[in-house]
Amino acid sequence: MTTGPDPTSTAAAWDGPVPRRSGSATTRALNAFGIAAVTYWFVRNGLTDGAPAWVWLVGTLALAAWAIRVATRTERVLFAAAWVMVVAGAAVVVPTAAVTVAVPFVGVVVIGAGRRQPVWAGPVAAIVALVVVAATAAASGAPVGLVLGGGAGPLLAAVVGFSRRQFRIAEERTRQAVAEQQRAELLADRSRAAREVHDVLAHSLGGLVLQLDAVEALLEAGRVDEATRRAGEARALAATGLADARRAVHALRDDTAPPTLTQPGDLVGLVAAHRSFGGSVTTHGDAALTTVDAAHRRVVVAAVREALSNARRHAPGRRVVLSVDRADSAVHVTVANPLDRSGHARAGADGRAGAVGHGLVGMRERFAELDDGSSVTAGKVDDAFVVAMRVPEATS
Amino acid sequence: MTAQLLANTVVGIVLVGFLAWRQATWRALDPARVWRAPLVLGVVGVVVLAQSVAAVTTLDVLFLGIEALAAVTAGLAMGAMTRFRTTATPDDHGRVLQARTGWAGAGLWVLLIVVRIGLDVVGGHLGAHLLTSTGVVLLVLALNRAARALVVDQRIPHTARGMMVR
Repeated sequence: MTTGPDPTSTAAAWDGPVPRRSGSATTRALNAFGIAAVTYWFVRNGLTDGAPAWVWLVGTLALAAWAIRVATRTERVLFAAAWVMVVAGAAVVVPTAAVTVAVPFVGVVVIGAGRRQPVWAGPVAAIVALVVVAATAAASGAPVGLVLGGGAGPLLAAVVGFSRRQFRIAEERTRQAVAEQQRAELLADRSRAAREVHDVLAHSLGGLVLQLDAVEALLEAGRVDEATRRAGEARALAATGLADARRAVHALRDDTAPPTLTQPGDLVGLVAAHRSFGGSVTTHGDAALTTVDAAHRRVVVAAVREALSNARRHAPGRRVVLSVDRADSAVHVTVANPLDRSGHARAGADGRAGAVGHGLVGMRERFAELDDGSSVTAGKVDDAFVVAMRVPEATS
Repeated sequence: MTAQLLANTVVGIVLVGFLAWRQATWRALDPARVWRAPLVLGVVGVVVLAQSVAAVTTLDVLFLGIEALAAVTAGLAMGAMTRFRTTATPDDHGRVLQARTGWAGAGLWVLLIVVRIGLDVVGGHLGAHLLTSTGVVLLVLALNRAARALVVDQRIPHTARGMMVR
C-alpha cells in the first residue's frame, strides 16, 4: 500500500500558503455554487419545518466554515475549517433531512486529500462524522435509514479524499523527477563546457608558461636572439589560444558542435608541439591514427594532449613515450612519463598542481560518453605515470 | 458466580494477557504482510455479520461508530509506539526485522478491551444488541489492526524494507 511519505507538520509549513490549493477558478466556482445551493435549501427547510435555534446556529457555523475553507490561504485555517465542517455539518444532517450532507462530505475530502495531513486523518474524520450523525439521530429518534444514508456520505468521501491525495503525491513525484532530470542535463552541459574551456586554456596557457620560462632563462644566459625567437613563438601561441578560446565560447553560447581548435588535431601535431615547448617524446606505432574513425580520434587526441600537458607540467625534462598498438580489433594508445624524482605530482611554474584533476576527469567523461567499450585509465605504474586508452578499430 | 462464568472470565483474562504479552515482546515483522491480518479479520467479520444480523438500529450504528473510533485511535497510537530492530540472524522464515509495541502498547490494548466491554454493557442496557455479535468483535479488531498497520507501514525503516534473506 502506497501512502506517501509522512507529512511534515512544522509550524512554518502550517502557517505557509496552501500549496496549489483551490487555485482554479472552476474549483472556487463549484464550491461557491455548492455553498449557495445548500444554504438555500437549509434556510428554506428550516423556515418551513421551524428548525430549533441550535440547528440554525450549528448549520450556519458549518456553512461559514465551508466559505472560509474556500477563501483561506493558509493551511492551518483550511484544515481547522474542514474539521468544523465535518463536526458541525454532520450534527445537522439528521435535523435537516440530509440537506447538509454535502458539508461533512466536502470536509472529509479536504482532510483526506491534504498531503501534509497524516493518511489516517480522512478515515478518522469520516468515522467522527458517522458517530455525530448517529448520535443526533439517536437523540431525535430518527430512522436508521437516514443514519446509514447520512453516514455513508462521509465514508465515501474518505475514499475520494484518499484518491485525490494519491493523485497529488504522484503529481508531485512527477514534478520532482522532471526537475531532477533537468538538473542532470544542466550538470552535463556544465561538464561539457568545463571540458572545452579546459582543453583550450590548459594547453595554450601551459605552453605559454613554458615558453616564457625558456625566454627568461635565455635572457639570463645572454642568448638574446634565441630569446627573441622564443618570445615570438610564445606570442603566436598566445594568439592561437585566444582565437581558440573565442571559438569555444562562440560554440558553447550557440550550442553548436564542439569547437574546431587551431591546436594540433592529430598525434603527430601534438608531438611536434610538445617538442617545440621543450619536451622530449619518443613515439611508437601509427601516430596518425589512420585506423581510428574521426569521433574516436578526436577523443584520443584530446586525452593525449592532456597527458602531454601534464607531463610537461609535472615531470619537466623527462622523456615521454607515446605508443600506438593494434590488438583484438582495438587500438591501444599509451602515454607514459617517468615520475618526478620526488615521485609526486609537482606544481608547475604556474602553481596549478591541483588543476590536473580536471583534465583527467574530462578525459574519463569523454570516453564514457562514447559508450562503446572505449576506455581510459590513468595512474602510477611502477615509477611512471601512465595514461592508457583503448578505442575500437574503424571498420572500413 | 457459576463455574461456567468463572471459566469464561479466566479464559478471557488469559487471552487478553497473552495478546498483551505478544505486544510487549519483540516479534518478527514482515513488511509485505502487515495488511494480511486486518484484511482477513475484516472479511471474516463482514461475512459473519451479514449472516447473523436481523435488524440494525440507530443505537447500533452509534455504538459501532464509537467502538470503531476507539479501536482506530488505539491502533494509531499502537502504531506510533511501535519500535523496530533488525537481528543479525534471520528466523525460520528468513525475517530479520522485528517490532514491538512495548508495555505501554500492551496497556493500551487492555484499555481498549475495557472500553469495549463498557460500551457493550452500556449499549446493551440502551438497546444496542449488535455489539456483542462475533462479526462486530472481529470488525473492531480488524479496524484496530488496520490502523496500526497503516502507521507501521509508513514507519518501517527504509533500510529494513525487503530485508528478507530468502
